[in-house]
Amino acid sequence: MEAALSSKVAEFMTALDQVKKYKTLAASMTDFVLIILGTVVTALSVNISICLSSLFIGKYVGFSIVSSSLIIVLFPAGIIVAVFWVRHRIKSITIGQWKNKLNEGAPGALELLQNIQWDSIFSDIRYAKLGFFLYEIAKTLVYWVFAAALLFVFNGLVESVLHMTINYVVVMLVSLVVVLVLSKNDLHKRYDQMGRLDWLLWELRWFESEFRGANFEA
Amino acid sequence: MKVNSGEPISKPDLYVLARIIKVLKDRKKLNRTTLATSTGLAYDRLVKYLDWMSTKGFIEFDSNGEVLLTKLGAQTYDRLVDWILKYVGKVRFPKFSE
Repeated sequence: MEAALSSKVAEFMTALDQVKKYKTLAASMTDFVLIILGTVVTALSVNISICLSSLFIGKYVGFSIVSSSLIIVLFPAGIIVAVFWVRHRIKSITIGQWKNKLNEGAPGALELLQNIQWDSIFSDIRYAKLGFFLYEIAKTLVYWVFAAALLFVFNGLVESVLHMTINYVVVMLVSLVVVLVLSKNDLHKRYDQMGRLDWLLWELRWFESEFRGANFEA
Repeated sequence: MKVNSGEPISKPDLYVLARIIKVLKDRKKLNRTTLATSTGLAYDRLVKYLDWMSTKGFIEFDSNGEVLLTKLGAQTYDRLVDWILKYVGKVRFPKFSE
């Protein structure tokens, strides 16, 4: 019976660790947006500097190629750095500290349950849900802008070779559809996780109210 | 045997209670100093708990003053585990993917 209790409390604490991870993911959204904005500012600064330099030196074509290449490299690099930074932050959080306590058996399990800061847990779950939603929107927007930029480059090539122009609205719509189709699984996973966080919130609310009101007669 | 003359415990901390019983279950019988070390409790606090537990019949003292767990004490521990499991066992945790 004690083993069953330890196993159930381990399940409990693992779910709380997962909330901690999700909360970090939500908190990383600010970093993600800042890195992307930093990349945009850097790319624009580089572009402006190169264009200004070309005015003084007078060789625009060569500078233009360098400028375009730098921007093409900078944007994906910024996205990769942002995504990896978020992953790094999630991986660096400490979880599973409760395992030693749980090795004590029932007393450890009881202490873990008694020491849970319920209000903080409930607020973390709500924060994680909101963060999930905003993070996914931010990520989709960034991918959309990147896909649209690629399509504009492609459009430029088509225009120069075939003298045909694709409507900008069509480019934006096509890039959005491409991004949504490619991120379909990810979006579905996030939606599913938000539902599971709701489920967890309800279960924990029930447990907290029952456990707090319960009285063990020794 | 009266083990403490200080202020008695009115409502024990279940965690402390469980720890004392758990150690006594594992080690059979112990003197109070060793029990305090094993449970990580201050001696004075342990003595208060032992006093309370002896009035409830969870423990008894042998002629050397060593603490022994009674059958009732062992049953109380099992009831406590069962009681926690009754609540925790009803919670259905969702499976989260990475």
